[in-house]
Amino acid sequence: MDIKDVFELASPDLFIPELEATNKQDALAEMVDKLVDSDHQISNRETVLQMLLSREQLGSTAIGPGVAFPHGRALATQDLIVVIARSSKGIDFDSTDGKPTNLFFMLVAPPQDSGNQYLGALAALVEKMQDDSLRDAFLNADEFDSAFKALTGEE
Amino acid sequence: MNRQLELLISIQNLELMLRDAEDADNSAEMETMGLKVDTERIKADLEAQIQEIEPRERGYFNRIKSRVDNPVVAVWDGHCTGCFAGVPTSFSSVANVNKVLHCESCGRILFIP
Repeated sequence: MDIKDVFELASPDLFIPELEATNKQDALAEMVDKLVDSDHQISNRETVLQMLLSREQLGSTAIGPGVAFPHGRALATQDLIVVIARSSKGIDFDSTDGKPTNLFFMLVAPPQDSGNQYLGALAALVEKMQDDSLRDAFLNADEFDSAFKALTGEE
Repeated sequence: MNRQLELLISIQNLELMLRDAEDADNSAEMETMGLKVDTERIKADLEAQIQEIEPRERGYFNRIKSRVDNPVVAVWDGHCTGCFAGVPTSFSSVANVNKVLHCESCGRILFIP
């Protein structure tokens, strides 16, 4: 799976240009709310949030630099969904380097997915986000489309 | 939502995490990404949550789990996603929101998303 495929799982209605949250729990809740408000047949907010919090308790997904990948499988979804969020001020997400996190890629996967899309999507995002220039371009993009183009290199 | 059902769903989601973490290929890839999770910690969390279930429901959960890997499943398009049998439409009614329901065909615990 390449980054274009990943972005087909995301969409402008799953993009939060600027999080209002200032802490980890609120940031996760805001991203889950975005998911529930979108047209993805997920109405059960609490079970998805609980799954993400349980995962974070086992070790932070903020593997840096400045990026976190909250993720997991949930009964509440039939499809792999990606919510993307940014925080220009940064949020304490218990990152491995101790620095604030500015970019969030939340992946919620179904119990089963063909070809292990979930892991492929996660790997593609993690790889892209290691590139400083791509990460900066993504962070500074005005909107979803330009953020997408920043990552895929499209004009 | 019913606290017992919430717990059962959380347990099943942790079971899915454990399944991925115990898969050698998945685990190796997660480790490369810096996202590997210790399986013993997942098991400890699972056990703690299982102990929170009321004894009667826990007994039922353990009986189903001895037969199938996924004792708690979602209902999608009116079907149990464990055995794919149809689920009566009455299951989705407001009166059932706070109840732990079981598939009439396979006995799995049902979650209506």
